[in-house]
Order: sequence, then C-alpha cells, then structure tokens
Amino acid sequence: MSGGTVFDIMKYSVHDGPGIRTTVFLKGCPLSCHWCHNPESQLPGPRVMFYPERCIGCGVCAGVCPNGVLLPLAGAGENHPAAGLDKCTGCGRCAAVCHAGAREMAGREMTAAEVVREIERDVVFYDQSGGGVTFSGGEPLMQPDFLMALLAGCRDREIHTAVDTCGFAPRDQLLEISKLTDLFLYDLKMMNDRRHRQLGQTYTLPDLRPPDNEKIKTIADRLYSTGVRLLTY
Amino acid sequence: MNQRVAKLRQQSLDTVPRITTERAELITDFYRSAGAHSVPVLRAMAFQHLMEKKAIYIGPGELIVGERGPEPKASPTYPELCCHSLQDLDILDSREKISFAVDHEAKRVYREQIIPFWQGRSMRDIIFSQMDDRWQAAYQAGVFTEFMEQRAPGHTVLGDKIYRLGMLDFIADIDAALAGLNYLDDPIAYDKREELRAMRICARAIITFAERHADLARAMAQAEPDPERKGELERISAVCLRVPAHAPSTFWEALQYYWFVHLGVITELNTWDAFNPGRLDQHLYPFYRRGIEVGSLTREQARELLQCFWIKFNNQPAPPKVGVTAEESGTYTDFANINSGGLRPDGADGVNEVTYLVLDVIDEMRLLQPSSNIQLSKKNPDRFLKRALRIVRQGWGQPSIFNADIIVQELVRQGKTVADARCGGASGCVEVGAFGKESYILTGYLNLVKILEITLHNGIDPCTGERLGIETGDPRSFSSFEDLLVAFKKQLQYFVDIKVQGNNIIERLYATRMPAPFLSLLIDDCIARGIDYNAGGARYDSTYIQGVGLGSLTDCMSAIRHHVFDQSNLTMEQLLAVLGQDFSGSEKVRQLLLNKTHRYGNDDDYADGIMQQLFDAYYDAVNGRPNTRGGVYRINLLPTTCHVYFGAVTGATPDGRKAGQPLSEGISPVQGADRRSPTAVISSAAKMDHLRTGGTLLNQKFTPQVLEGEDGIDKLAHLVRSYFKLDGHHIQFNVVSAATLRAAQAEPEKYRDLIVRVAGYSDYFCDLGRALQDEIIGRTEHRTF
Ligand code: SF4
Ligand code: SF4
Repeated sequence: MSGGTVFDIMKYSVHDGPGIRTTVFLKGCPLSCHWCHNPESQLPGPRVMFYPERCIGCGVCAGVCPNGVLLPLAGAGENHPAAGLDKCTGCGRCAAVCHAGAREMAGREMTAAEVVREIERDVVFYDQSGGGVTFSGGEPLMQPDFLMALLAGCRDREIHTAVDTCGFAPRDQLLEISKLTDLFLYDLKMMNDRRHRQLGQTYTLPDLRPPDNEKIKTIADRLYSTGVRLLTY
Repeated sequence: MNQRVAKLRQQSLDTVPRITTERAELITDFYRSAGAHSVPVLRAMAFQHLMEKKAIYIGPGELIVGERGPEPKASPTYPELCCHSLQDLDILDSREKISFAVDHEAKRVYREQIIPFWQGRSMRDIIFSQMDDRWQAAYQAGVFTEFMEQRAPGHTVLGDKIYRLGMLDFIADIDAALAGLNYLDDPIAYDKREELRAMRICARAIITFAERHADLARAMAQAEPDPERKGELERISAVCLRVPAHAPSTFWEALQYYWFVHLGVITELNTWDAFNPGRLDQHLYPFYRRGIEVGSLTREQARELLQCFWIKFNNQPAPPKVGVTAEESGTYTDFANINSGGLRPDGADGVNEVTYLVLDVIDEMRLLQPSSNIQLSKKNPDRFLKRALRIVRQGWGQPSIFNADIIVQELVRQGKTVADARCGGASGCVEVGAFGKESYILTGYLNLVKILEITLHNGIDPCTGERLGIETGDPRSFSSFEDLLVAFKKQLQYFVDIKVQGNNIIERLYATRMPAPFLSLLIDDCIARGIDYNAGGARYDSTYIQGVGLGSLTDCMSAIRHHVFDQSNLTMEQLLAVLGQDFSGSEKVRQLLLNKTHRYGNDDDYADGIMQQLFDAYYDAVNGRPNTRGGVYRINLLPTTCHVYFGAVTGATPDGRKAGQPLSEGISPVQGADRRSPTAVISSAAKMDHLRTGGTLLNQKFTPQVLEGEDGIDKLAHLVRSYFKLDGHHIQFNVVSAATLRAAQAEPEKYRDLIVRVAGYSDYFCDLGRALQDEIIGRTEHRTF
C-alpha cells in the first residue's frame, strides 16, 4: 500500500457527515483560503507546531535543530511559530526531544495500512451510528494515490467513506475516486469566481488555476449521475 | 411544577441542615432503662421507642408525609454507631463545606447526656479497639478506608414486595415462621426466635408510626379553615391508616408506603447508601394504570405526588460524617438512586408511561436527592435514551446511564437467578445488586496507587518513613517490568488481606451487636430464614472493596515500563530520587513522564494492556474470598470523593503527578491524560472486563456545544449505545465548560445553584472542596471541531 502525509486524525468527529466519524486530514491544499481553520494543513510536508502554553522554556529544542533556526522559547508567547520557522525543514528532531509536548509535528508520513488500522479502531462507533470515515484536508485529492489506497482499504472493511473536497482536481481523478467513495462532501467555497479569487488570495501551487466553479458544478453533476451521494455546503 | 410543589421545593432548598438531638436522646433514654432482652429484641424495642416517641411533622401543603427528624433537614445522630465529641460538633457547625448547624442546646444535651452514656460504647469505639496494629497503621496512612466505622452496613434496595404485601401480611409470615421453629433439631432455633420476634415488633412499630401521622392529619383537618386543604389532610389521614399496615391500593398509597419504609430503614440505623425504591417506574405502573383506567388519578396528579415524594428525599441530608469518612464521602447526598427503564422480570422492555413521568420529574425538580439513573437495555427504545440525554445536556449531571443488559450478566455471573438479576439494578453510585434480595455491603476504598508507592519503597511508606507493607524487594534491583508487577501483586495481596480480616471482624460485630430487624423484614429471605440482614439473612450476600485510582496506577506502571525498562530514559534510582523531591528541579523529567508515556484513556494498547493486568491483579486479590455472611468478596471501581483524600496522602508518582494531587476517579483516565477523543476513552475503558465487577464508574466531560441540537443528542446516544455494546457498565456526563467552573470558583455567590457530576453523584459545585473543584476542572473537556 502506498503512503502519504497525514496532518491529523480526529475521532468522534460529529460535523463531517452522517453518524460518528473519524476525520482524516490529509496534508496539502491548492487553495489558501483566508478562513481556513487549519492553515498548517495547507503545506504539503510535515511541519512543526508550537503550543506556547505547554512550553517550560528548557531550551532543549534549540540545541538539536540542524538548521539552527530555533531560539530558546521561554516567554516566546503566542507569536513564536512564525519566528524562524521559514528555515524549518520539518525534520521533527525538536518535537522528538520536547518532553512538554510543546513542539509537535503537524503531519506524519504514514502508510495507508497504518491509517486504515487507526480508522478501524472506531468501527463499533461507526456501526452503531451509521458513521464512518471522512477524508478531509487540506485537499485530500492533493494525494490521489494515497487517498485511493485509503478508500480501497476502507471499502474492504465495509467502512463508510466520505471525501471532503473543494473539487479542485482533474476531472478524471475525481471520477476515479468517486468509484471508491460512498459520499462526497463537496465544498463549494464561493459560487462567485471573482470573489473567490479575491479572498483566496495566493495559491500554493502556481501551475494550477483557481477553481472554476462552472467546471466544478459540471463535475458535480457528472458525479451525481454516477450514483454517488453528494452533500454541498 | 405547580405552586405547591414550587413552595415545598424552595423550602427544601432554603432550609439549612442542622443537627437534631431528638433521636440521640430517645435512644439514650431507651438504653438507660432497657430490660434484659436479647440483642435483636432490644434493637427492635429501641426502634419501637423511636417510632412511638419521635415528633410527627406534617408541613403546609404536603401530600406525602413523614420526616426522619422533627422537621425537614433536621438530621438525627446515631450515638450507638458513632458518638460525636463536642469537638466533632464544633467542626460540623463551623466547617466551610457540608456543615450542620449545631445549637447551644444540642451541645448541652451531648455534653450532659449523650457523650457520658455512649463514649467508649459506640460501634465506632468498639471497631477501632478491635483492629490490630497493621490495620490501624494502614488505615492511618490512607491505604484504605472503613465504611462501617461510623455508619451501619446498608447498601440494599427495596424490591417489589411492599406493593403486594402490608406489614400485617409480614406479621402473618413471621408468626408462621415462629410456629415452624424446631427447637429439637435446629441448633439456632432460639436465635431465630429472637430475630423473628424482633422483626414482629418492628412491623408493629412502623404501623404505629403511620397511625400517629393519621391522627395528626385528622386533627389538622379538623382545625383547617381552607376546605381544599382540609380534604387533603383527610385523605392523608386515610392513606396513613391504610399503609403500611395493608398493601397499597392506589398510586398515592404506594408512594406513602414506600416513604414510611424508607424512614424506618434510615431511622433504625444510619445505613450507608440510603435505601431506595429501585425500579420505581415498574413498581408504580400498575397503580398508575389502574388509577387512570378507573378515573381516580390523572397524569398531573401522579406527577404532583411524585414531585412531593422527590422533595422528601431532598429533605434528608446524609447524616453528619466526621474524620476519614467525611473525606471519602464529603457530600450531603445520601445516594438514594432511583432506577428507571431496564427490563421487566420476564426480560421484556421495562419502559412504561411512568418511566417518562419520572424523567419529567427529574428534569423539573433538579434536586440533588434523590439521585437518578436510567437502566438502558438494548431492548429499550431510543426515545427513552434521548429523553434522558436531553436532561443530561442541561449539565447538572443527572441521570446517569447504566447498561441494564450487562448488569443482568454481572448478577448472573455472581450466581443470581435470571429473574432476580432482571429485578436488580444499580444503587449508591454504580453498585449492582439484586433488589429486595441482596445485602451487598461496601466496606471501604482501597488506595491502589499508595500500594504502588509502598512497593516502590520495599514496604516503607515514604510519606512517614514507617514500615507499612512487606518487603517485596528493592525496586532498583528489578530487571524487568514483570519483577515490579510481581512485587506489586504481593503488596496488594498483603493489604487486601488486612482489609478482609478487619472486615470479617466488623461484619460479626454488626451481626451480633447491631442487627437491623426492621430492614430484615423487607429483604428476602430474612423472615424465611429467621436470620438478620446483618448476619446473612438475605438471599444473596456480597462484600465489596472499592478500588480507587486504576487510571493513575496504570499510567504509573506504564511510565515505569516505558521509561525505565523499555527505553532506559532514566534508571529506577533516578526516578525514585525525582519522586522523593516531588519533582522539584526536575520539571523536564516530570514533563517526560506526563507527555511521553502511553496513557490509559487513549485507546493505546500498550497502556490499556497494563490496565488489564492490574485489573486482573486486583480481581484476583479480592474476588471470591468468603465473607462471614455466607457470601463472597467482590470488587467494584468507584471513588465518591475518596480519590481526593487518597491523593492527599500519596506522594509524587511516576505518572508525573505531584504529591498530594487527586488520583484518577472511577475507571476514568487521569484528568487531562485522555487527549484523543471520547471514543478512545470508551474503547480503553471497555477493555476492562466489566462483567467481573459489581460496578465501574466512567465520567466524561463535554462542552455544551458538543451536544447542541438534535444531532448532538443523536450522536451522544450512539456513543452511549456503543459503549454498552462493548459491555461497559455505566457512563455519566458533565456538560459544562471549564471556563464556567473557573468563574464559579472566582465568584461562588453567582453560581450557588451550579450542579456538577462528581463521581457517582451530583453536587453543588460551590459545596465541593477546592481540591475536588480543581480535579473536575482538570478533567479532559471533549469539544466539537
Ligand atoms: S524543548 Fe519544548 S519545552 Fe523545551 S523550550 Fe523547546 S518547546 Fe519549550
Ligand atoms: S523540525 Fe527540524 S528543522 Fe524544523 S525547527 Fe524542528 S529541528 Fe529545526
């Protein structure tokens, strides 16, 4: 099975589709919407997160950083994550030595098998509630092979799946994935293209154009005609 | 609620608990001039004296009548069990939390009459004088507590028999049993005779007590100018003449009968975990249905009567506790816990119209007492669960939720018949019993974490330097986690043995000196056997030791296994040194232990596997050992407020907990250690074999946002059902944000009516000690995202 980068796995997720769900946040997003509630998930690789309220100021992290970007953090306060992190390669050494859990890696390389094993742990809750797993992001379609492997693994285990997407992906890929997905949570960010461009501001991957809502609607219609359930919001 | 109920409820809430010396004086009078009778007969005559002489109270507007003291919230004392000293009375009067007003006159009575007569003769004095040095040392150090040192064995719940039989019927049964005694072949025929005679006196006495209420109500009716109230008083008088002498014929009579019986039980002795009516909805349903059918009762009248009945419970604060008992159970709540729903004796869905009425009453009354729970079977409709969860969502902690199907299995595993098991349920906090047929005595809490602390010091209590346990080896010489586990098991067995030996003596002290003939009347098969409840007369007899701190113990063991043995992050020597300093100067190590340990409550098999081993160790140390009443010892896992007391006497621990901090409560994870999700907590907790316990307690805390809307209720319902599919025993919820609790700490005046779930019961947040408040705030708060 292939692997990919997972930003987080949240259990007892109750707003991402029917029943009790596990939401798997895959890293990477082609958009960078200003309202995004987990901007850390936008970048494709693992990133280090800093929780200032847990930091005891021991300074151990600074000692292990190969890029020497980190200063001791005592009193760094809320603003610290921005300071010096541009040089961070996401190697994770600081998080490994931080006993306080103030540095943690956002995003882990995981195999599909590992992720599916984690998803499977809550099967009793899905069975009881008609729930399952929701793949979200970032934009889960940024890691298409990984996503396909995850969906296939879930289907093998009779676990209901949903993909929470902005639809910003090649049409064929979407159709391919639709075959393995029980439900699409289609996130139409803004139906007005110009407004979307204004608010979306910058795009992580320059070679992709901002989403064309007409196209997305067309794809949605196509998906709908294949029998996939769609929820838009 | 109507005006009458609102007034009575407010009165109950506003009245300050006070000590009344009424009972103490009457009992002392009686024993001063007591004749040369057998012990059971003396106890029965003392009960009779109380029933004949105590003041009768019928308050304005009341429909259900009778008080334990001379008026609502006047709490009697039981000097034959625990004779309070003048200093105790001062403490009760002046302590900040759970205080009782003690007036000058009460102190005078105690000084002049009660103390001179009872000092040195109370059960408390006798028990402490009978315990050996090892018991005393372990007790003082906080290794365990002792329930019976100032309260009598209780812990039973009434079955259905009072709804079928009156006291006169019981008297007929007793007479038949007396006539059948065989003095030739039965070596204990004499003992049986005395016990049966005692029961007979008690049955008569409770009838007298009811008749005195009937007389007063009639006299009040005659003087009453308001024709409506006059009619009510006449009705009260008629009801009290009928019950408990005869079986009840109406809804009202059924409630009043139970209430007299309740008062009898809690007046005879100060039993633990106040008796309760158990499956009230099922008991009342036939009366309800008949009343509605013949037009003598409306749903609104039934509601009003139930509400009046509820207020009666709230009028009886748990009698004043002192010393360690006050620490382990610091609350006015006396744990009467009414069960709704569940199964019928034939195994069918037990939810009926009265069930929903009871849920409405719980919702409207919002009283600490009685406590309430639902018994949820897979056969019960979702409507029932959701109705209960809508009450839970309001955030005052009631009702708690039990797995009715698993309770049946737990009871059957213990040897009860299926029918008896289905009539059982949960009482106190979470304890299972066969209602009406079992004596299931809780004997005290066991501090599992303290035992580990002692193990880590080769038998020495590091808090005092005293040798408390046995030598199980210097842990610095242990080469594997298994070595530690073996040592811990030996130490555990040693302390459990001390506790069991003490219990066996205490059980016999109660059996021989403090029988409970009135309670015995009510519990099968005491009459048939001619044996007292306290001596093994009940059909089933269990003795429990309640384990405390399993979550903390698991995390401690997991930390040692991971950091000392698996990863060699630090040596045992270093660990012990850091603990000895209470982590001062070693915050980094503390953080390592706190954050980089596999911890229980995260569906992490490493930690949960250790929990299972420790659970087995505890089970093996206790379960199945014979008690003195023909039954056996069993385990359950609940703390009341004891996890705070036990934490206070336990030094720094390998899970990163600082000295003196509370332990984990029930089977909940350590406060804040469960970082994943409510489903992960449930999965972890479900890895324990609940079927081998007599009750486990799981607390979950949610922010109100999680449960918003119908969707929030649906998902919570699924969460509960999922836990129960996994054989979980009990779950309860706090729905309140830490921010609200902190605000209540800062400005208690504004939050006087804020109620939270503590352990197996709810309490006013502002009545809790600071340590307990902090502990509740520290519990993981599951949010939505
Ligand atoms: S290692 Fe962790 S606790 Fe220490 S300074 Fe760095 S972030 Fe803070
Ligand atoms: S992840 Fe690696 S590069 Fe980034 S801050 Fe931590 S140690 Fe430095």
